[in-house]
Amino acid sequence: MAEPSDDELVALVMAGRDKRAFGVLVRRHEVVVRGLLMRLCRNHALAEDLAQDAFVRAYTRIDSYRATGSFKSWLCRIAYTEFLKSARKRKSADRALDRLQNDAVEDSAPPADGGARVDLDRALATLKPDERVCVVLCYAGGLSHSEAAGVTGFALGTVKSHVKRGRDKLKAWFERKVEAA
Amino acid sequence: MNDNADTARNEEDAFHTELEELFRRNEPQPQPGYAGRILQRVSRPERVRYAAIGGAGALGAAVSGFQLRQLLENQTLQFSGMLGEVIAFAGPQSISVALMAASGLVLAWVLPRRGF
Repeated sequence: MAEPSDDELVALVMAGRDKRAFGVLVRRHEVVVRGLLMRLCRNHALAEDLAQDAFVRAYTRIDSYRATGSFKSWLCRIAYTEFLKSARKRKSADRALDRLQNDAVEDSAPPADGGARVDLDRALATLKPDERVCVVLCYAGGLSHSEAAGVTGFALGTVKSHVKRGRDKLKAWFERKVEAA
Repeated sequence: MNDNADTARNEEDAFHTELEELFRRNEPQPQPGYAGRILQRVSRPERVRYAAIGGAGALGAAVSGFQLRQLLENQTLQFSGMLGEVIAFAGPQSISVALMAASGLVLAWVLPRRGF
């Protein structure tokens, strides 16, 4: 029997607060949401907390989901909002995004998988905050440019140029790293 | 010129694929029991918060209901037309009860949609 689609599961949750259906959605999107927040926060513990908050928020706000876009992009928007809220709580959104740029290495749990993750986070730290957000949404979240535009509220052209510029910077960063090695 | 453009595009595509792979390798591992923990959280309402909000709401309703009755009983206020007829017919207490019931219904409709 075919797996139910996200929209079918959402309909079950909406109809009767079906927790089992929501559990399937959580399992299906857990990695994307946690990965997205880890790349945005680069603080393992904070990202895990925010991911849990995002799922709880998604459950309580499930009635506001409209199947005009994918469930994943709706969930990513909630996760991104949780990230911004958390950033505002700490200082202000702008200063927190600047912090993303300045922090080179994660400041909580040690990396479990060695240098590759640190490399990626260091490379991402060289991007401007908006470029970083767009790159992370498209690559860690697997969103299309238009979905990323919907999540961030940026214009589609802006997202495209942020992603392109970000990718060029990352390419240059990795090339410099190879040359230096 | 075209060759240069093609080469640049090919390089870009290759790096795009490489970057996708890099992000994929850096994805967190699925955690056993993760969904269960989320479901526990959504099943466990924040009782203190709900009690505080409910208590404050009930207190506010009691105060406003009492004041509303007093307002409607106030002889100095002159109601005319349809409203005057309604007040004279139903009495201030019934009207305040009806208004409070309507407020309660609105709350009961709104709160579940706000996640309470």
